[in-house]
Amino acid sequence: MRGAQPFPWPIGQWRSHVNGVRIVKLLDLATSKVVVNWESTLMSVVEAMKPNGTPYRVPVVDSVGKFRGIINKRRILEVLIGTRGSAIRGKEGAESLLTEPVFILIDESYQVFQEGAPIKMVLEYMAENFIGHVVIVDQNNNYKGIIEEQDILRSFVGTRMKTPVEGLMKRNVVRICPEATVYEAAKSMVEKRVRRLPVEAGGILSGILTIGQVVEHVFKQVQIGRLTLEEIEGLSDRVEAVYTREAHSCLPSTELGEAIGTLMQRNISGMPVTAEDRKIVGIFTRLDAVVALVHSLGGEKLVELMG
Amino acid sequence: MAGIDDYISIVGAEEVEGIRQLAEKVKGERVVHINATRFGGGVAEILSRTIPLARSLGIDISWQTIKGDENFFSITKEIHNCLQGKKGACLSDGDWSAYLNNAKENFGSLDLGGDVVTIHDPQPLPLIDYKSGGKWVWRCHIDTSEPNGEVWRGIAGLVKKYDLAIFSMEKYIPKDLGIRALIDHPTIDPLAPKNIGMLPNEVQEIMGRYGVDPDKPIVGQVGRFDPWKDPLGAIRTYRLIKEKMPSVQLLLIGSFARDDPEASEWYGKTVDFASGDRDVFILSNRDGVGDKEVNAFQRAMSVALQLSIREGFGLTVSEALWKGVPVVAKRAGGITLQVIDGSTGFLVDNYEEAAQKATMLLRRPWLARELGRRGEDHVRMNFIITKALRNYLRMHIELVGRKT
Repeated sequence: MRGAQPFPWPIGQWRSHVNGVRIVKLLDLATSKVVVNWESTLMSVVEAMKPNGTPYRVPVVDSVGKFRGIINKRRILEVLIGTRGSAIRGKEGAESLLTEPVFILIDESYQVFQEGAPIKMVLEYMAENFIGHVVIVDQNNNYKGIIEEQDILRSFVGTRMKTPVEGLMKRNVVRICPEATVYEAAKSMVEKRVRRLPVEAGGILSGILTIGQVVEHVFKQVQIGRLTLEEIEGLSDRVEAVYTREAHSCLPSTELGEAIGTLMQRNISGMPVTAEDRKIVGIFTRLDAVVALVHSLGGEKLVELMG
Repeated sequence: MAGIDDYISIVGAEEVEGIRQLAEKVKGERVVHINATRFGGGVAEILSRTIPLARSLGIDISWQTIKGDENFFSITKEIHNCLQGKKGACLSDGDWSAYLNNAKENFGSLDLGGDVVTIHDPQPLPLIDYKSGGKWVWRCHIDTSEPNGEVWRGIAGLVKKYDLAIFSMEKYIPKDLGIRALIDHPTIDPLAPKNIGMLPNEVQEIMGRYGVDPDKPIVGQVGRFDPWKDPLGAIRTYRLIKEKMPSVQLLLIGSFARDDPEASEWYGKTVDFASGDRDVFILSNRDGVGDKEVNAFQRAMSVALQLSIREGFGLTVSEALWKGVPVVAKRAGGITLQVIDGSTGFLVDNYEEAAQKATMLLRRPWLARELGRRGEDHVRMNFIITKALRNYLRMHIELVGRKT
C-alpha cells in the first residue's frame, strides 16, 4: 500500500525492531524544531518564526528545559493588533510590547504526553479532539519534542488513498477580498480563529493570505514606525499587496492521497478547494487529512503503516 | 488549606516558581469572582480551591455569591438548559424581567470594585449593567456550541458589554460573540479533600457507613441530578452489566446545589427508576456525602461512568482518572479531552456499548489498572490546578497591565 517516500524519516533515537518489524516510538515522529526560552522577547520569537517554511507554533521552555507552554502565530498576531495584551502595551507603541518576555504571553498547552505514551493513543486523541499538535515531555516535564500534523502525514506522501476531499473538507470558508486592508484580514483571522484566508476576486479564487504573511507584514510596520495601536488599525495596506497569487488548491474530487502529497510537497498547512470554475467550495487542511486517516484506518493500522 | 508550596511535590519547584513570578506582577491588584453558589457543581468546586491558592500567593482576591429566590434559580436553570441546546420558547417576558431584576437587587450588597471582576455563568451575568470600573470577564462554564437561539439572543447583549469571555472549549464560542474570547480548560486540585490520597481503611470505613459491600464490584457516576448527566442512563447501563455480572453495585453520587431547583425532581426520578434495587446507592449531600466521601467512593469504583448528554467540561472524569479509575463515557463536552478511547477509558455511543466496555474492565482488572494508570498520568500532565492559575494570572496581566 505504501508508495514512494520522498521525505526522510525524522531523526529519533528510540527506534527499534521487533521480529523484523520496525516499532515506531512517539519521539520518532518528533522532528527537531525551533524552541524558545520563556525569557526571550516576543520580538526574538517573531524573528524565529519567519513565514516561509517555518513553524506555526513554537514550544516555550524555561532555563532548565522544562516545558512551559506554546506560542503560535495567531497569538503573536493578537498581540500585534491589540486584541490581547493591550494593557501591557507601553505608551510608546507596539514596539515596547515586542520587548516583553514571552512567558507573560504564552498559552498553556493541554495536550502534553509523556514520551512513553503509545503513538496510537496520541493519534486518536488528536483526531478525536481536532488538535493539530501534541507536546512530548519526560516524567520530569523536561521538553522532548512536538508532534504536528506534518510529522504524521509525511509517512503517507505517495500513498494512494481514493477518498475524495469533498467529504473531508470544511465547507464554511472564511474568505477575504484583495481590496480589504491587512488589518481587516488580521482581525478576521483572530476572530474566526483561522490560519489562512482564501482571497476571492470576481467570485473566484484569486490566491491565499496566510497568518504568517500577515504577522510578517504587521511586524515590519511596527519595527519601522513604532506604531501605536490606533496606527496599526489605520494601516491602509491592502491584502492585494501581500497575498500569494499562485495558491495551491484542489478539486472536491481530488483523492486524499494526492491532497496529502500537495500539502506536504508544497509545505503548506491547508489549501482552498474549488469547483471547476474556480469558485471556492471548501478548505482542506493537514489536520483534516490526519483526522481522515485516523478515522478511516484507525490508530493501530496507522501506526503499523507508519512503521 | 494548601498553599502554593504544597504543589511542588506534584508539579515541581520550577513550575511553582514560574507561578510566583507571574503573581508578583498581579500583587496590589483587586480581583473579584462572583457566581451563584458556594456549594455544588463544578464552578463552586473550582473557585473553592483557586481562591485560597491565589491568596497564598499574596493576591487580593474575593469570592462573592448572588442571592436569589427559587423562581430566579428556576429561570436561570432554564437559561442554562437552553444555552446547552434545549429547544423551543423557554422564557416569558416576566421571566426575563425577573432575571434582570436580580442584578438590581444584588449589586448593592456586592463589592464590585475589582481591577478584574470575573462573573461565572449566566446567573450573575446581568451585573455587568452595574459595572463602575475595572475590566469585566464572563466565564462561561457551559456548552454553548448549539444554544437555543432565542435565549442566546436574550443574553448576547449583556455578554457584549464584557471586556472578555472565557469558554471551556473552542467549539463553545458563539459565532456572533462580538468580544474577545479565551479558552481555559477546567482543572482539578489534587490536594483538595475530594482528590487527596486516602488510606484503604478510610475508604472501607466510608463504604461500610453507607452499606456498600467492599467485596463486590462497583461502577459509579458522580454528577448533579440533572437530565444532561443522564443518571437514568447510568442505571440502564448498570442493569445491562448486572445481566453478565450479578454481583455488581452502582453508586450514583450527586448534590443539591442552591442554584439547581431541578435536582429534587431528578433525584426523585432517579430513585423511582432504580425501583428499590438494593445494589443501587443513590447518595448526595443530604445523606452526609461530602468531598471526603466522594473521594472514597471514586477510589472504591472499579469503573467510573460518565454518560452525560451534554457537559461543560466534565471534571468528574479527571477526578476519577486521577484516582487511577478508568472511565467509560459518552462524547460530551470536554470528556474527549480526558478519556482517550482505549487508553484512559472508553468512549461509547450507547448504553449497550457502555455496559459491554464496563463489563470487560470489571472482568479484566489488569486492563482497568493499566487504563487507570495512563489516566492518572494524563491528568497530571494536563488538568492540574496550577495550569489554570497561570492562565488566570496571564489573563489578568493582559487586561490591566503588570506591576513590574
